[in-house]
Amino acid sequence: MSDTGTAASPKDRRLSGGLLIGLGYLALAAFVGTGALAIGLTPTYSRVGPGVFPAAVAAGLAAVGVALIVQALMGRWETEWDRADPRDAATRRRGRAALAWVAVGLVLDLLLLDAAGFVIASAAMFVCTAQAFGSSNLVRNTVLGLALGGAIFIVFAYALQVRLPAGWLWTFF
Amino acid sequence: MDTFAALLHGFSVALTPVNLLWALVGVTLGTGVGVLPGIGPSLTIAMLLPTTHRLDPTGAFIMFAGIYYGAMYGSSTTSILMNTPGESSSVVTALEGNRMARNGRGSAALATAAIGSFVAGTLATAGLAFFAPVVVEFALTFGPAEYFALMLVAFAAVSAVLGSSLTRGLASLFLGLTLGLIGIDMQTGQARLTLGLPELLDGIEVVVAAVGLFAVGETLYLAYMSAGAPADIIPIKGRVWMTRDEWRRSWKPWLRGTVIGFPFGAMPAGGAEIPTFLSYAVERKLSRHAEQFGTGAIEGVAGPEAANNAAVTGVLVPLLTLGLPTSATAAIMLAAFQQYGLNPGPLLFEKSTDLVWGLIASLYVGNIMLLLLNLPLAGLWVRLLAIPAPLLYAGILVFASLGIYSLHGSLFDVIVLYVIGVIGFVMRCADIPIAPAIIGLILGPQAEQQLRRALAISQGDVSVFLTRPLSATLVAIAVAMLLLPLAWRWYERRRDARLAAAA
Repeated sequence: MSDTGTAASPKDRRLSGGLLIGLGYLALAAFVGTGALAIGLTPTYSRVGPGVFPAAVAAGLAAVGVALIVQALMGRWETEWDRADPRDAATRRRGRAALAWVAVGLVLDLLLLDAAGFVIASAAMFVCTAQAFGSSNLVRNTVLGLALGGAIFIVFAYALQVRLPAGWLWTFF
Repeated sequence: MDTFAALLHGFSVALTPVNLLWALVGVTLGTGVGVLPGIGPSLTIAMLLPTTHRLDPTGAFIMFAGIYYGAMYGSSTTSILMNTPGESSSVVTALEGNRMARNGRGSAALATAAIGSFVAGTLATAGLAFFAPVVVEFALTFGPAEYFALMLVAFAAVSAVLGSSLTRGLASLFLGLTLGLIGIDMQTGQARLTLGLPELLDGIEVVVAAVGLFAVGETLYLAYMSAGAPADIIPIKGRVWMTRDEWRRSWKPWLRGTVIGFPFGAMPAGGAEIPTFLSYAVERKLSRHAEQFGTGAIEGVAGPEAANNAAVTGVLVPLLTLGLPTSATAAIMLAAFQQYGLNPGPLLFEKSTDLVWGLIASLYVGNIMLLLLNLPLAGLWVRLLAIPAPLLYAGILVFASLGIYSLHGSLFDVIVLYVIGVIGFVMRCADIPIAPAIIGLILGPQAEQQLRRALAISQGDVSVFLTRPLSATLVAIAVAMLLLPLAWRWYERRRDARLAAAA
C-alpha cells in the first residue's frame, strides 16, 4: 500500500502491490526453508524426518513467490491497490481512516479483554467498528455495544457455563 | 448392518426430543446467521462452532447438520434479495434471482430456491446414505500411499478450481500448508515455526484461521473499500409461493440440478461452484424461455440452487468416508470432528454408528424443518437484512472475537485471529482465494503423516506412489489438474497468435 496518497501512476502502484506480496512469499519461503534445514533433512530413527515436509512447503512457497512476481511485473495481476482508482483522493483517505478505526477497535479489544472484562472490551470494539462504517452516533452505539456484550456474557455464563472475563464492571453487582 | 437398517437406526437417534431440539436450534441459528449479508455458510459454521463444544458429539453434529443446511437457505435468501452472494456457489442464484426480485417476482424466486433446496437436499441425502457405505468398503483397502495421493488431488482441485487464477490458488494453498506446519511434529516432538512462542506449540486451529480470514479480513476489506452502505434490499410482496406455471417450470430444473450437483460434490475434486454454473448453462439451453435468462428466469434459480444444495450434500461423502474436505465449509466441519477427537474415515462408520447415521438422518429432518421455517417465515428473516452495516459488522467482529476467545479462554488465540485477519485483508485486496488456505491448513498435517507413513512402509522408496495402481492414477489426476489449465492457455495463445498472423 502506498502511504504517500499522491496519485502514483498505475504502473508504479503495481510495483507496490503484487510485487510486495510476491517478495513476501519469497521471504516466507526463506524463513520456512532455513527452519527446515535447521531441523535437518537426513532421516533420524524415522524414515522421513520432521524437516522434509517443511522443506517441500518452502520450495512451493518460493515457486509461488516467483510466479506471483512474474505475474505482477507482466501486469497480469491487479490488486485492489493497483487498480487505476476511479475514486478521488478523499475517498481513498476515508478508506484508510476506516481501516484505522477497525484496527483501533481490535487493539482496544485485546487491551481491555482481561483488564476491563468482556463487556467493556466488546463495547469499545463495537463503537470503533461502527465508526469505521460511518455510524458516529456515539451514545447509541455505546449502549448497543454494552447491551450486546452483556447479553452474550449472560448467555455464556448461564446457558453454556462458559465464564468470560468479567472485569471490574461486574464487581458492582 | 445394511444401509436401510442403519438409516432406520439413524432416525431413531435423530427423532429423540432432545436431538430434534438441537436440529431446530441448528437450522434456526444457521438460517439467521446465514441470512446476514456478507456471511456465507463457512463463516456461519466457523462462528457457531465454539458454541457447540459443550454438547455431546451426537447432539453437536445434529445441530451442525442444521447449521450447515440452514446457512445455505439463509444465504440464498440474501443472494436473491440483495444480490450479495455470500459464497461463490451462490453467484448464479444472485444473478438470476435478484433480477426476478427486481421484476417483482421475489417471492417466487425465494420459493423455488427453498423448495428446490429441499428436493435436492433430500435426494442427495439419500444418495449420501446409499453411496457412502460403498465408498467406505472401497476406502478400507486404502493404504497411506493412496491417502496421500488423494490429498494431492484435493490440493490440486481446490487450487485450480477455487478463484480466478491457478497461481493465486496455489499461493493460498501454500500459505495454509505453512500455517499447518506450525507447532509440534506429531511423530518426533520437534517444534516447528513456533518463533519460540510456547503458545504456538499446539499449532493454529482451523477455526481461528477461518474466522480470521473470512470475518476479520472481510470486515477490514469492506471498511477500506468504504462499502458501508448496504445494497438495496428488494421487499417481497405477498406469500412466498409459486404459481402453477412456475411449478411446471421449476420441477425439472430441480431434478437436473440434483443430478448435476451430487456427483460433483461427491468426487474428491469437489466444490459447488462448477455444478451451479453447469446447471445454469444446461437450463438455459433446455428452457423454452431462453430469452428470459439474464433478466430473471425461474429455471436459472431453480436449477443452480438445487445443484448447489446437492453438491454441498455430496461433499459430505468424501468428508465422512475419507476424512477429505473439498470445500471451506467441509474443512470447518472436519475441524469440528477433530474437536471431539473423532477422525472421519471408514472407521468412523464402524465405531460411531450412532453419530454417523444420526447425522445423516438429521439431514432429512433439518431439510423438512427448513422448508417449514423458510416458506412461511421468509418475511421475518428478511428483516435481518435491514440491520445497518455499521452495527452488523461491529456485531460480527464482537461475535468473531467472542467465539475464538471462548474456545480456550486464551487472549493469544484472539491475537492470532487478528493477525490472520490482516493477512485475510491483504488476500482479499489481492484477489487471492481463501478456501485453499483453509483446506491446506487442515489437510497439510494429515498429508505429511500419510506421506511419512507410506515412506516408512516402503522403506523410503518414493516410487511407492507410482507403483500402486490406484495411487498412481490419483497422482496422475492431480498433475493433470495443475497442468491442463496451463496447457490450455498455451494452446489458446498459440492459436490466437496464428490467427493474428493469418489476418
